[in-house]
Amino acid sequence: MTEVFSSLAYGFSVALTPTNLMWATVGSIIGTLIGVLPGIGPVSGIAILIPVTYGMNPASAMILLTAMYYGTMYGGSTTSILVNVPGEASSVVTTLDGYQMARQGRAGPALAIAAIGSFLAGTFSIVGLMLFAVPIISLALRFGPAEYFGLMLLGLSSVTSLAGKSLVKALLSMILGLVVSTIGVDLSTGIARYTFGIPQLLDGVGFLVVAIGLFAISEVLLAVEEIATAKREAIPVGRVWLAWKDFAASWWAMIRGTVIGFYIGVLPAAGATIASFMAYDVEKRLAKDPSRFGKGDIRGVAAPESANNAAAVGNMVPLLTLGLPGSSTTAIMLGALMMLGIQPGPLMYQKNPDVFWGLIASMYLGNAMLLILNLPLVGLWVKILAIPERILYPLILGVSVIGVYGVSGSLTDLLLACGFGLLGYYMRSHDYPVAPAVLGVVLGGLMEQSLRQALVLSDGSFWILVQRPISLVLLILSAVSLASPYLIAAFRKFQGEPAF
Amino acid sequence: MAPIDLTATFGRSYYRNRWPKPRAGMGKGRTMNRRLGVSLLMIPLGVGLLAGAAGAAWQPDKPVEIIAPSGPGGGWDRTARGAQKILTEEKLVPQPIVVNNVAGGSGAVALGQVLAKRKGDAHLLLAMSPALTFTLALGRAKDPASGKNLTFRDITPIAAVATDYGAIVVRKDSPYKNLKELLEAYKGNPGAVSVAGGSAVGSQDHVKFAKVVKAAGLDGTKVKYVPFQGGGEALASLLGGHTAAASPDISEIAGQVEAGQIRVLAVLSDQRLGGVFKDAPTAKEQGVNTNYILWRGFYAAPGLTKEQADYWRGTLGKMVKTPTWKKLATDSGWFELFMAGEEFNKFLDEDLAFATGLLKELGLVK
Repeated sequence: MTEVFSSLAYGFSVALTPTNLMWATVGSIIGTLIGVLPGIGPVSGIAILIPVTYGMNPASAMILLTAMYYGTMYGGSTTSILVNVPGEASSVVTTLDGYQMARQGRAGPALAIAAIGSFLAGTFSIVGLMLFAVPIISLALRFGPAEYFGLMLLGLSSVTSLAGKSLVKALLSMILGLVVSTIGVDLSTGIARYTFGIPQLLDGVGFLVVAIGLFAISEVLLAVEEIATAKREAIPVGRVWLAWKDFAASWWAMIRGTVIGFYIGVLPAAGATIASFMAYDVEKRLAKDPSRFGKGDIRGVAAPESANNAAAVGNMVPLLTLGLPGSSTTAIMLGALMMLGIQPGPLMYQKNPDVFWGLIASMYLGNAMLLILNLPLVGLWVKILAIPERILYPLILGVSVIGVYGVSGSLTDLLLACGFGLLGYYMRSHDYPVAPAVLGVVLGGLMEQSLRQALVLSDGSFWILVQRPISLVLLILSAVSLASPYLIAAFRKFQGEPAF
Repeated sequence: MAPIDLTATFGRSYYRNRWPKPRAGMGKGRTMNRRLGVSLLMIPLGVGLLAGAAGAAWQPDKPVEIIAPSGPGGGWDRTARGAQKILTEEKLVPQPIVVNNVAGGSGAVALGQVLAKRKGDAHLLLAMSPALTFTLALGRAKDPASGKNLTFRDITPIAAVATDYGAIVVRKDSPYKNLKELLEAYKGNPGAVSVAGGSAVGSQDHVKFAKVVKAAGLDGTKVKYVPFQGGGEALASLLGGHTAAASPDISEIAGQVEAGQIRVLAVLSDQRLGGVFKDAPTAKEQGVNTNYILWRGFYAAPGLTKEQADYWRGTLGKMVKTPTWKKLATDSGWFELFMAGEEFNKFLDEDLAFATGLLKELGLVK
C-alpha cells in the first residue's frame, strides 16, 4: 500500500510539471467542447489529436489524450440537458430527466449535478483503478459470451424504467432499435443483412445516426410545430446554482452510479452507455417515488452522469492491466500508445512507470480541472436557453447535421438521420418514448453476438446460459426486472391500493 | 516542374486558409475544409495543367489525396497517415498531401467512390491490406457500371510497404505446448478447439486458422470459430478461458507475450521474428508449410498511365528506406516488406484466388 502511494507521489511529480499541467488543461477544454458537440465523440476527438502527439513526450501525450477523454464525458450531458440532444451515446438517458429539469427552469442545477457527479465518480473510480485493478480484472475476465448475453438482457430490461405511459409502446420502440441493430454484416455468418446492396450499410447503422435523428431532428420538428401552433412555452433560464437539498438528494444516486459504472466499464465489450442506462434503472427502482422519474428528478441526472464517468475510468483497467482495449475509445488510445513507442500491457507499469503513474495522477488532476472548468460554464450554458427559438433551433439542426456528416462524410448517414428524424417526430407525437430505441441499437448487436458466440461454444445447446452461475443470476435478475411493474401492480391491487 | 503558385491564382489569404503547410502535427480537424478545397481547386488546375504533365517523368502537380477507407484510428488510417507524414517530412512528394477517411464496408465504400468518380486520377492513393482481399472475395465490392464482382485487376495496385503476420496463440496454462499438439487435438475432435478471432466468419482471423489447418492436411471447414468485435475482445475471451485458442495479428499481442500471459504456438511468417517473438517458432519449423502475411499497402484508381503508376511505386520504394518510416513501422508493430509492380500484382491475384477458393469451401461464397 505504501508502495502505491510513493508511486502515486512520483506520478504527481510527473503530472504537475508546468508543461503537463498545460496539456491537461488543453485536453480538458477540447474534450469538453467535443463532448458538447453532438456527433463528435471521444473516438474522433482522440483521432484528431493523435497526430499532435507525434514526437511528444509519451507521458504528456497520454495526459493530453485522457484529459480529453474525460472532458467528453463531462461535456456530453450539456446538450442533453439544455436542448434534449445527447452529445454522446452515454448521455442519452440523461435527456429523460435533464431536459425536463431544464423546462422547469432548473437547467442550472441539472448541469451542476452532472459536473459534480462526474467529478465524484471519476475521482472515486481512479481510487478503485489504483487499488483494485488486478482483482477486478480477473473477475471481469470471467465474463464470457453467456455472461455478456445475460448482462445485455439485464440492460435491455431497464426499458421498463424508460417507459412513459405505456410499457408496450416502450417495448415497441426498443424492438425498433433491435431491428436496426441487425443491419450490416453478421459477425457469425459473414453475411450482409438488410443492406440492399448499399455498401454504406455493410457496417450497420451507427448509434449516432439514430440518436441524432430520433432526438435532435425530431426535437426541432416538434419545436416548429409547437411554435406554429403557439403551444410551446419558452424555457425559463431559472436559477443557476444548485441547492443543498438537490445535492443531498443526489448523494446516493452518485455513489451507486459510480459503483455500477466502474464495474461495467471494466468489462471489455460493455461500456459507458450500458452503464448509464443501468444506473438510471437502478435509481428509479430504488426510489420511494419512482413516478417522479422522467419528470425532472435530479437523481435521474446524477446517476447516469456518474455512471458514464466511472465507466470511462473503468474502461482504462483492461487497457492498463492487460493491454486489451475494452472499447473503441481505448482501442484508439492503444494505437496512440504504440505510436509513442510504448507497448501497453501487463508490464507497462514496470517498463514505463512515468507514463503509467503520470497518467493515474493526471486523471485526478484532470477531474479536478474539469470540475473547476465546468461549474462556471454552467452559467454560460444556461444562457443558451435565452437565445430566441428562431435562432436556437436552426442552430441545433445545423450542429447535428455537421455532427453526422462531418465525421463520416457519408451522405447515406445524413439521409438516414433525416429518416430517423421523421420517425422520431411521429413516435414522440404519439407518446412512444425514443430512448428505448437507442437502447436497442446499442445493446442489440452485442446481445446477439454474445448469444451466438455462446451457442457456438456449446454446440448449439441453450443450457450454457443457465449452467454458468453468473449468467444464471443475470437472467433471473432480467426476468424479475421485466416483470416487476406487473408484480408491483398486482401487489398493490392485492393490498387494496390503486395501481400506479 | 516547379510547384504551382496558388497565390497567383487565388490570392494570398486563400492559399493560407486552404492549404496550411503540412506539418507533423496536422490533424484531421480541417478535413471538411480540405475536401472543399480539393474540389474547388481541381476545376481550374485540372484543366490548366494537363498539358504540363505530359513531360518525360510524371510527378504530382497538384495536391495529393490519400484515402483511409476506414474510420480514424484503424490500421488503414495509420498506414495512410504514416505515409502522409513521412512523404511530407522527407520531401518525397513535391505537393501537399491530405488524408481523408471514407469509412464503410471494409473498403467497399471507398472503392465504389473511386470507380464511380475518380478513374484515371493519379493524385489519389488508397490504403489497403488483406481486409480488402476479403471484401473482394466475398463479392462486397461491385463495379458500379456492370454490377460484377471487382478484382485487383480493376484497380491499380501500387505497393506493399510493411507487413504484419498472423499467429496462433493459447493461454499460458493451456495443455497445448506446440502447434502439433493443437492440430492433433483438432484432428481428434475439431469441436474441442474453439478459436477466438476479432473479425467475422469468413474474414481474416477465421481464414488464418483455417489456412493452417488445411496446410496440415486437415479439414478446414470444421473450425469452431467464435467471432468477436475486434481483437481486444477476442484476446479477453482467450485470457478468461472461454475459448481454447486465438488467431490474432502479431502486432496485437506483443504486450501479452512479453508478460508471459499467452503462448505463441506458431508465428505465421516465413522466418522467425525478432524482439519478444524471438523464441516463438514459425509454423514452417513445425512442419506446417504455410504463412499468413498481413501486408499493408496502397492502391490507386484504375486508368493510370505507366509513368504515373511507376512514379508512385518509386516514391513509396524510397519512403520505406527512410529511417523515419522504419521507426514509424516498428512503433506500429509492423515488419519490413516491400513489393511492387508485377510481383505485387501476382501476389494479390494469388491471395484473392486463395481466399475465394477457401470461402467457397466454407460455403460462404457461391
